[in-house]
Amino acid sequence: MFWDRLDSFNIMENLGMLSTMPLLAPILTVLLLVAYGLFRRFSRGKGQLGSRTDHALTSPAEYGFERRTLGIGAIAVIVLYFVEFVVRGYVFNFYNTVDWWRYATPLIAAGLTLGVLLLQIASRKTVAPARPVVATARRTWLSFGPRAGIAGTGVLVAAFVATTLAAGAASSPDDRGRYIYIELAAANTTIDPLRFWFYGWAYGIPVIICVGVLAIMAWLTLRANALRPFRVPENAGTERRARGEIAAGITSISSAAMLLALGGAFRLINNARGPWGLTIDGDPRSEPYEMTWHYANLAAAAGWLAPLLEVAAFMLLLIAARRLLPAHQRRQPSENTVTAEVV
Amino acid sequence: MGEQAGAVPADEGSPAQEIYRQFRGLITSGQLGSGERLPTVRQTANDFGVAPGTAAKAYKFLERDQLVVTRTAAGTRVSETAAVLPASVVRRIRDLTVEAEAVGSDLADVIGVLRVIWNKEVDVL
Repeated sequence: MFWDRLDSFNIMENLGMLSTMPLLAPILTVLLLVAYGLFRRFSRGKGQLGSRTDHALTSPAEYGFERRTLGIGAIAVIVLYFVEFVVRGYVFNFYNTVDWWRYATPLIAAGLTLGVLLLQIASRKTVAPARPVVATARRTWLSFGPRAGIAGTGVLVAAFVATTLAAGAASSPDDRGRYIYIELAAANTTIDPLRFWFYGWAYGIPVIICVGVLAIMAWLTLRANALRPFRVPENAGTERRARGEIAAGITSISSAAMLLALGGAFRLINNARGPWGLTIDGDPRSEPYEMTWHYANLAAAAGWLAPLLEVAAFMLLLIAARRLLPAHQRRQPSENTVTAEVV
Repeated sequence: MGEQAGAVPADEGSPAQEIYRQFRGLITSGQLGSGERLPTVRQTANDFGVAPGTAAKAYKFLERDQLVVTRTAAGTRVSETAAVLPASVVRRIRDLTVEAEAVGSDLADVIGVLRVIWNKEVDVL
């Protein structure tokens, strides 16, 4: 009995099923963070990914508000992602509704965070510098941003455009003209095609608009962060580092929100992976009709990628929050030791 | 060219004069290399908390003293004759300074090593 079951157990199929679980990404993220915490404890490394650096502790006070805004924004993106999941699944019934906002929620949360940050920077810009600092170079939106982070955000925007166009072109309308279906036809038959909910134009267009708005917000905040004047010459180096931290936070939140949205889109595209067997009552044919999409392999790959993108997004957001938020309660163990030794 | 290079502009003590002096100091001390682009008028105005017209006036002073050259689409660049070093060398010195500061190297050590490497490279050449 056991061996029969073992024979019929298909690892890839079961792992594929597991990857469709919406809570897989948060669970994997928690496991990874626990593993990372244990690794840090045993290696006792300092200045590793996500740790608060000396620069962060000594950055000028006026940057504190902006760091806090970004840190809270990173947490807000995660919280709103789960709130939307609970509201959609357990509070309201969105049957037969094109709930595109499920993919746009992280984008909107990130966009609002950057909007608040932009207002903060703009309000500070009106204050004249205490003593002007002469710049030797032109400052642009690229001046402080991490190159990898900016390039990553660009790649994600391109991936979103490609996904929207490809999925939109493959989608079909319902009787109300909403492009929300993918149709899978059985070859050489007159059977009506099977229809699955899909990431068609009805989802893709509003989401890509949100991606565009978020990309513009990221560009505007990076630009405002770079172009504002330095306060005093003595602090220019520290301010430069603080701006680097802010720019890194901007790119982390933008890319994480895009990763979450793209992960969601990939999950819906995974609906069309197939192949699907169809049997018809009264049909003398003994074998089920096999229906498959031309790009089923791509859909299956998207299904595999979705949780990975989401894990990467959660990690980015948590690391950004840890780096940007002040740790008043987190006392350094070494402080106690030093005090005890001195006394 | 009514005035000689380095002559004090008429409205001494004005914000434009202050900006002019600061940039002249950067160019003559070699902190800006030849051919290097100056920040935009808008950025300079922003950095000094003045109107763009004031910053543009300062750039005119620099141009009149042949410290910079302004060309359409190329922006305002440090002139070949006024600069101490080429832009490529100054940029690398700046990068070296940032890196040395980030890793906590001593200025005297950096200069010492630079001198040793310089002499060695010159000997090889």
